[in-house]
Amino acid sequence: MDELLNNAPCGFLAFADDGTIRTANATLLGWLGYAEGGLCGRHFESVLPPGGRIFYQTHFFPLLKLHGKAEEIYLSLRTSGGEDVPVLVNAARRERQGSAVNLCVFVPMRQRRRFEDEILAAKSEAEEANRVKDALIEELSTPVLTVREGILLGPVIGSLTRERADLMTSTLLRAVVERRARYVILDVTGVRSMDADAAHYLTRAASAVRLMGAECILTGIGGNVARTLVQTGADLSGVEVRRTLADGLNYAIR
Amino acid sequence: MSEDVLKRNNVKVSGRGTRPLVFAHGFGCDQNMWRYVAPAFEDDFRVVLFDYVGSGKSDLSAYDPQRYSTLDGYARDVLDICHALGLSDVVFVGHSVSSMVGVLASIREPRLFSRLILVGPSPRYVNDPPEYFGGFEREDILGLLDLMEKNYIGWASFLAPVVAKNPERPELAGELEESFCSTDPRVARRFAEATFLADNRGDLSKVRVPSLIMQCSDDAIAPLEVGDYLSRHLPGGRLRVLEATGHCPHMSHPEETVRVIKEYLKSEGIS
Repeated sequence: MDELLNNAPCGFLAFADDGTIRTANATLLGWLGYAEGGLCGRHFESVLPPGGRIFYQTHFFPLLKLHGKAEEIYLSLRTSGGEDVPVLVNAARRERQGSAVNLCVFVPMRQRRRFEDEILAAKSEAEEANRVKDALIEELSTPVLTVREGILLGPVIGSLTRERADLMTSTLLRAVVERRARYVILDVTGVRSMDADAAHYLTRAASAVRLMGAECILTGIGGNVARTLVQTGADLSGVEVRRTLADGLNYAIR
Repeated sequence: MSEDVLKRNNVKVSGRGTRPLVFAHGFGCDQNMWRYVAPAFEDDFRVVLFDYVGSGKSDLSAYDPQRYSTLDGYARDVLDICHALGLSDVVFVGHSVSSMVGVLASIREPRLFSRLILVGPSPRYVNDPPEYFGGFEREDILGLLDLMEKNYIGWASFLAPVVAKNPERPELAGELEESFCSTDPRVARRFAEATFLADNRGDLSKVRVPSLIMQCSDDAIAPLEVGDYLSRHLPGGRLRVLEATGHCPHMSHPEETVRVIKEYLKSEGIS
């Protein structure tokens, strides 16, 4: 091996397709705690931790074989003493004397790895925070208010998806039982438009309320919503419909 | 529906034979893995290649996290493809995790398959002492997941949005595709978990389709003990230890891989 390469400030290693290491430079041998020639004839996997061996077989080698190169790949190399050295690898395939040899250059990445560990941790924290936020928004978006003894109000604002309708229905039903409600006002003033699915969810929620022994009053139906309800043939029998929330309240209090 | 499946799984059919030979890729790559092996069968078989949903050039929008959280979801991909092409008497060749996917598919619909060829199979990667040696501890698998996450951080978290924002620069997408065969880290992670934390030992006795177990002589992912376990527990399974080392004989030792498959099929009167 060229003396400059042997002592270059990067690890160098060449291996055959079957994984056998043909040569390794002094720098790499030093890092990994092997004597001169100590890696020759061993398998590349012997300097990888077990998880890394799977990665080598399922990602690294196929990539190298199929595309002739692999760049900026993270690996951990295991020293003879069992310690792991995080490295970045660039590898390329070369035909040599009729057979292929895979050349790898390694650069240790201790500092950067720590930094990226932190990024990953921050990323999962952000994902978790997002999840909590979504759950909170969902909870807040399906409130059930007691307007007066026995009268519940479920204002629906925005769009009514299946998940939200399911959540709203179960929250309503629980409230009907817990608060001994006789009337449930579903106010859709805050719903601009409604598709056939949403209309279906709404009438289903109303039927469920009725089955629990409370009367359902639908208020605040705008033009668009009315059109959808008619077009989809939504079954509103047994549901009291009032124009505004105030009308609905009057009906319940009467 | 059938059209959809063929597109969904990026199904490629070639060859001049009638008997179907379906090649299923393993975890971490796509149908390209078979490029050194599949052409050798085109004279005598109808060769079918595909990508699992979430891998290669499959339709990522068809990815259902629930379905693909276990190997059963992948087995359904195989069955969907067989039905879409109207196949019967299928010789199924599965590499690595696809061996167990083939096993599961054959249990669901045994009549669809005539032979299973299992390349580097393992019914369970994690050790279960004292009876079972799979080669790995649970921490090792977590180490793999960590390594994958670190390798995907650049590609998926950084490059994927860049690609999405630069449709006029298709070379970026190409780069992404070349880097890893799955471009979505969540998909890859779930596939890794479904693969390496699976335990299919209980399924082996239900297999009714004869099989060839192609065991590499020095394979860190599916060691000799695992091949031995399979040959004792898989009814109708014939063990063949290859000279090939490593876990990807179809890539590192394609000639031997082709020869062994052909010899097996010939000895079974199929060719």
